Amino acid sequence: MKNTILSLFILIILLFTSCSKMFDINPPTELKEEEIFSKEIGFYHALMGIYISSTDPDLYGRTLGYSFIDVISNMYNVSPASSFINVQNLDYENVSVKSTVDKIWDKSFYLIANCNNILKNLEGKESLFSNEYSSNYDVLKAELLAFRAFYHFDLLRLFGPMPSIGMDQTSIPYVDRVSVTPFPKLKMGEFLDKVIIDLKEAHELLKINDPLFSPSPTDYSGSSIFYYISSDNGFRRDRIFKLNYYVVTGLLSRAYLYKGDKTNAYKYAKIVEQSDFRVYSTINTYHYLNDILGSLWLAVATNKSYTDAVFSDGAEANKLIIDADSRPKLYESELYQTIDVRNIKNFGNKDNNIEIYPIKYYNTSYSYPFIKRAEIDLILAETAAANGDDPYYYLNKLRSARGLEQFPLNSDNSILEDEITKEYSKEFIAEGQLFYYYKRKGFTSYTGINGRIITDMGPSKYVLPIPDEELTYGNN
Amino acid sequence: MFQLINLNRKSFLPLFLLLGLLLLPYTSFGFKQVKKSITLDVKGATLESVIGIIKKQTGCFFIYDVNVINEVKNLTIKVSDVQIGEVLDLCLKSTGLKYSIDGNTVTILKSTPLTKPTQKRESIKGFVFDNNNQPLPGVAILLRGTRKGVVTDEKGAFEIETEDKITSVLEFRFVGMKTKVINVSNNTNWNIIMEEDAAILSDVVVTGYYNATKATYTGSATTITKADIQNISTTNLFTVLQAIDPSFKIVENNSAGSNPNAMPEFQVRGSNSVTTLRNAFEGDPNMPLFIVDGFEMRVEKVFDLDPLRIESVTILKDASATAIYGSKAANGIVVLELIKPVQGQLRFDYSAKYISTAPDLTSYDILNAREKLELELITGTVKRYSEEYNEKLKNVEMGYDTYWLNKPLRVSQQLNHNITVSGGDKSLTYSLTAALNPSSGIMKGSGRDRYSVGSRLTYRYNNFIFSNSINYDNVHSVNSPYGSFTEYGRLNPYYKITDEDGNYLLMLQTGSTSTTGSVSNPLWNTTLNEKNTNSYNLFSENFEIKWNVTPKFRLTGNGSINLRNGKTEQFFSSLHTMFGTSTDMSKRGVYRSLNSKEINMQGNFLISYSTNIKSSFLTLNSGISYSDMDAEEDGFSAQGFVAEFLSYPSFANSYHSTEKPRGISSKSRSAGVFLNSNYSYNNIYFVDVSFRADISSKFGKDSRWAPFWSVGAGYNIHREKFMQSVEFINQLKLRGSIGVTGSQSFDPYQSMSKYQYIGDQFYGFYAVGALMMGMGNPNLKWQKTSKSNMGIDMAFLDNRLLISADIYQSKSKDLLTSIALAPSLGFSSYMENLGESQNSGYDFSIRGVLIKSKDIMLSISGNGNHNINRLTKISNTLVAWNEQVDKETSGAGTDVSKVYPKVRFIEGQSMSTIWVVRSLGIDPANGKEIFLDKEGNKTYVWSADDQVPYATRDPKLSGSLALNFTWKGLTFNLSSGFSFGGKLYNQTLVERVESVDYKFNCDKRVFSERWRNPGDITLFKDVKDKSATKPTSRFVQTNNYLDFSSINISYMFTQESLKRLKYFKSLRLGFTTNDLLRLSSIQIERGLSYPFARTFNLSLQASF
Repeated sequence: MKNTILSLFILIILLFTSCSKMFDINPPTELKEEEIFSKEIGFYHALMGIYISSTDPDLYGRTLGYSFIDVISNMYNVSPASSFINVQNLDYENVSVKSTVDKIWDKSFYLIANCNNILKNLEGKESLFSNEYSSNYDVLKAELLAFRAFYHFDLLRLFGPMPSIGMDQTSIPYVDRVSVTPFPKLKMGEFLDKVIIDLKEAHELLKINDPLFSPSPTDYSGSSIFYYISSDNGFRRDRIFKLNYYVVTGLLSRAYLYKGDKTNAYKYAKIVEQSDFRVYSTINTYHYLNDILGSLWLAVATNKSYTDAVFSDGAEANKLIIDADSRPKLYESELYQTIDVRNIKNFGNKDNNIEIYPIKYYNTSYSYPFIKRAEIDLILAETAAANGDDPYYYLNKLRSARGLEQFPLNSDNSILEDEITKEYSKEFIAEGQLFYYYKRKGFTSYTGINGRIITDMGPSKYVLPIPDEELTYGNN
Repeated sequence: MFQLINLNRKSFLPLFLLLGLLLLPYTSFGFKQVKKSITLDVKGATLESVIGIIKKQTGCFFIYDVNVINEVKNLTIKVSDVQIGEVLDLCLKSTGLKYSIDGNTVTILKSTPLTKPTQKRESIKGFVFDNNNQPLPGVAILLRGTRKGVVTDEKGAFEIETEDKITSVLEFRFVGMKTKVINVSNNTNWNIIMEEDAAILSDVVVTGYYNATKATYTGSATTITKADIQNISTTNLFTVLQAIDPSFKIVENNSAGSNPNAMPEFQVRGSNSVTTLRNAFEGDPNMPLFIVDGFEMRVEKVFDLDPLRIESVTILKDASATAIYGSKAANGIVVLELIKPVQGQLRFDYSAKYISTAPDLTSYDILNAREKLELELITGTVKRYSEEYNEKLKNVEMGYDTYWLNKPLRVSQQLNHNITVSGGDKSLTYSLTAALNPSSGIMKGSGRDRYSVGSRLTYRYNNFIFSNSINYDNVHSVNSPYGSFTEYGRLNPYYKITDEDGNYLLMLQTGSTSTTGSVSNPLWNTTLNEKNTNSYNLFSENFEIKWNVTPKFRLTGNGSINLRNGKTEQFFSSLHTMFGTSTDMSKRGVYRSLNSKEINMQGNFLISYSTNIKSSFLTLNSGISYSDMDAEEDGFSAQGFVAEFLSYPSFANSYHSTEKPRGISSKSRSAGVFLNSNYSYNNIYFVDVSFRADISSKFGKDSRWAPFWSVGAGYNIHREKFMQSVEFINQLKLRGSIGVTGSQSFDPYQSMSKYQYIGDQFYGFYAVGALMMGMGNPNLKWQKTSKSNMGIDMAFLDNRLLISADIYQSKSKDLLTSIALAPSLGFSSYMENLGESQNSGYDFSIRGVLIKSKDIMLSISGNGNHNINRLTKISNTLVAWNEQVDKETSGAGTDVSKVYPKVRFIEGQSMSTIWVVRSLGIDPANGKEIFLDKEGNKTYVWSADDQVPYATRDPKLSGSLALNFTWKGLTFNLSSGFSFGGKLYNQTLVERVESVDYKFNCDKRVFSERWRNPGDITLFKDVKDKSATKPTSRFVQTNNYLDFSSINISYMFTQESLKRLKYFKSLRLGFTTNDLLRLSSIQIERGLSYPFARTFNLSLQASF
């Protein structure tokens, strides 16, 4: 009898020790990491989380899309009473400006951590992906790598030193792993190499597998119920709203140019240029989104509330406006104002033409472009000479698509930089690319809206301050 | 030996368990003959004192008639190492007395020769049991009127012969039990149940899993009996615990006051965890664990329990006492035992309490209408002869002078009942209890009604005992429609509150007629349809099987299921002042509902074994326990109730536009294996070893098993031979323990990385997304608290003076704190085991019986505790927290809510340190405060950097004093709490005297004691200075107080008087008053959002 009890007792103890699984409990309102990544669909959802959060108003949904980022490049007339005045004055010490800048850093790195965590869990899970779309594994991995590179690259363009000062300058950390130990700040050259490595890997994976190339039309356009009952839950559709092959190729070109490598910048831009993906539309059918290679899809309702707040309905103090009389200056009134299709279609009027504002975000499709064909042609114009090609061919391509007359081929190179700069400001207003251009070129002065000349530009103004928390808790 | 243990530390404990079980078959039970040697050297001693010495040396139990024994005096005996028989032979030589020894019971009788031959000898047989239906061996049975006595055997059986059974009276005596007397009459076959004597219950320590013998217990534990509860408070158990154990403290909640719906917080021996900031703990991490009848219970259940249902409460404090609770033990354990049915005739117990509660407003002193208006004039809030001033003056002259404080208050009255029916025979005992405890608070409309019914059945079959108890509790609480009491302290007295017909006005002051804005009338809301309730139903089922395999070897298995359903409902009608002047009727009026459901299952399995080998005594208790908790909560809000009286959610215009539906769910599971072994040698030396290993879903998956342990040792010096001659010492026990316990009151999911779906956004054409919620930490561990304790228990002068004292230290390691991360890692913080804190101190209690005679007893007792808390290691987030709070304080402006001295986390400092800037007082020249900066220079400017650790809130000593007087059936008991040496930041002076917004009413001292003119020497700054006073040493005051927490007078009817009142078995009447008076060195407003109260309570307890 006593032996029975003893063995019973020992048995129960053994039972407890052996099934410690019993003590793995899932929180019912959320999914545990192990659980969400136990199914193919979970990976798609985790990636979509990153796309959705990229449209956060503190990231590309507003701050890095058309408000903060174009205020620091002086694309708006900001009244002294506006809350944006400290931004325009590049007063990064101001509490509210600091908080905006901190949020860019914090939220971008949060999404980078999300990329890293999915990549960590993706490792070796090829077998989870159904046979029908086994290439989805590669597409998923490519988009995650591209996202990681995209965010890092924009953070570098904001918080890193000016490229003109040299690639040996210390920049910011490149975080490519989930960790609680901080990463070291890299030299800008090393940092860009990491961006390029990630983009190249993505490029290689998408080259073969991007659903764009397997033109079953249901893969990437339209809206049929069948997407939702397909095994990948519509993951392969909407390629123009994803980091597709052409976006990644364009980003590679952009990164090489930032590094000063005109050969590779030209090489990758050329791949896009020669494709027939999203070519320029006719002037009559112009829309700023037509020739984008890929964009972030902004939810209609939420986006409208953000844009309304700064452009049309918002309180006077928060408003971003462009004086009506600054438009002729921007679009060179004597020469082109009436024929530049961008001037005609991209602006809305307020108060009988006293004020105007960009209407790129007032349309049926709201999007933040990752990269556009226009930028590809401008990169080619900038790098053609170094590669024995004619820059004016590419500049003319863009100009004619916007209704402007063409420069004669093989023209004088002395006006080239000036013309490229003008095209950047005409083309990318409210798209957040101008600041990066000025910084890359290292302009000590440039012309803002309304012919305003911005002087004394330099590292203290081109380099956004890294948040205090990063300096306190980071690896410095 | 120690070397051996050290080498094999890991295998030592299982070895112990095995050893115990292997020894089993070779052990014989019971005692046949006492073979203990005695050493004696007495001159002219009485026989009684010699017997006393023999008792001490041998532990024998003596039965004798005191009158007979007292005749034997002048004994001179010197022997060493002889048997008991020899000594008795010497003592009783030529005294006409004889003795007999049976087991360890010695009976001394007069050796009267039998003169008459026996007429008719009849034998009376039977068995004796304790109230758990355990056979009681060694019970002494005396036949009254004779010198005859027998002792029960191992099975509790006895047989005694009598000459005349009809008139025979038997007396049963046993240590720790109430003496029982029976009239034999015609029945010659008896089953006797002996009841435990409550006064002697403290001979065991109830640990929740098993009962330990107090004499050889090495832990630090306090036991509170039924009688203590009756003497101190039959309405609030926690008051009783605080009065009896100095280290049990109710954290004073100055805001909630005596709100019947505010759950108090407690600490046992200080706080171990850091409670702050972003890490959202579930519940209070410093709360002790509550065990009711062997199962863990929410504190709420204990709060709602009728104290009259409680048999005993044990507070376990040190490592030795708590280690068997492992990862939940760090904050101490409170073990409650409910009253169990006793075998016997059908018995009705009825008790009634009439409770009256009255608000205590003595700490408030506010301005009247005329004074308030004058203050507004002085400070420039209104201009003389302005329209607004004239309006207010008119009101004052018309006699409007409302004392707002008493508007929402009342004297509440309630009647509580508790009925118990119990009874049963040898094989089945039962009880049914119903407790009806409605209670109403002193704020009008507030209350907490508690109803419970329960039944308990115990069935005995051979050596199995089956017990089952079922309880159902229903608690319904209502919050006062009058809102927060704070508001009433602020309202101006000169307002007109009703119209000519006596109806409440909606507005007391309209913005259009004054510069001070509009003020709505909170009394208006009380006329509206409102619902603000909270209720729960708790059903609990406990089942237990005990199997006494042999009298010394027992198996116990038990299980419990608790089902709890809770509901919170709020309805505020569209006319409520909270909706301001908005005319959007689709948003006025709100209804909120919150439903919760909780299922909690627990089970234990226990093996108990005890044996003696010669003078050694060994007990082993080993078991496993399991618990599973599953809780869910969901709720919604709706808005837009057009018709004031329609409160049902279906009348809402829509769901609430800004309040999202809620849904929370939490699950946790834990199990443990434990072992406790107690070994004692001769009752002189004893050792306790405990071990527990816990597994819990709350721990990180990489460190799921948590081991805990304790070792304790003790020494009963009074049992040593050399102490035998020191007669005035009855007990002198030294004990000490060390060990490690844990705490796991934290969010079960902190160790996991989780993903959350984004509910309200899609990408492209309805693609859903999920995001990481936080950085999990798979290495997350339980908090560890190492505790050490040294204690002494002493009893002198025939137990008339009892002293007990403990010194302790507890160090908590691996405190869960959030660690700040570089934001480039994606998250601002994650949870890590970092941080250390330390509590050390002492507690003691003294009880002295001043008068003890047949009818009168007077005793006084006191206890005290001193605790020092220190942070020994803190995380980087806590450092950042300091900077953040400093910034908040510096930038407070006129915001009073931000200037109280905040907890600053500095290594080496206590969490109760008060940080302030040193002040030299108010400059009489200009009414500004003069500060001392860090270097000691005078300055008018307050700076956060100049803050110093100025004082601590921890008192030098706190505890309680009690006086107990009994005269026949009459008992008088007074207990009071005290505290001295602690400091307090007088927030009342900041909020109600200095940083006052003159739009509202304030403390009288604003008017009389603030600086007005140059030359005024005052404690308070310029009356015109409206800035919020930042932490200054000027307001750090000594917090000494004496609290008359309970006065009780009760009368227990004597058996003689009861005979006249037929049917009554017992009858007790009592009167208690709680919180009658508080004498304090600091004048501070107490009970801010709900006032404090005094209670008066009449009670009647009767048995039929």
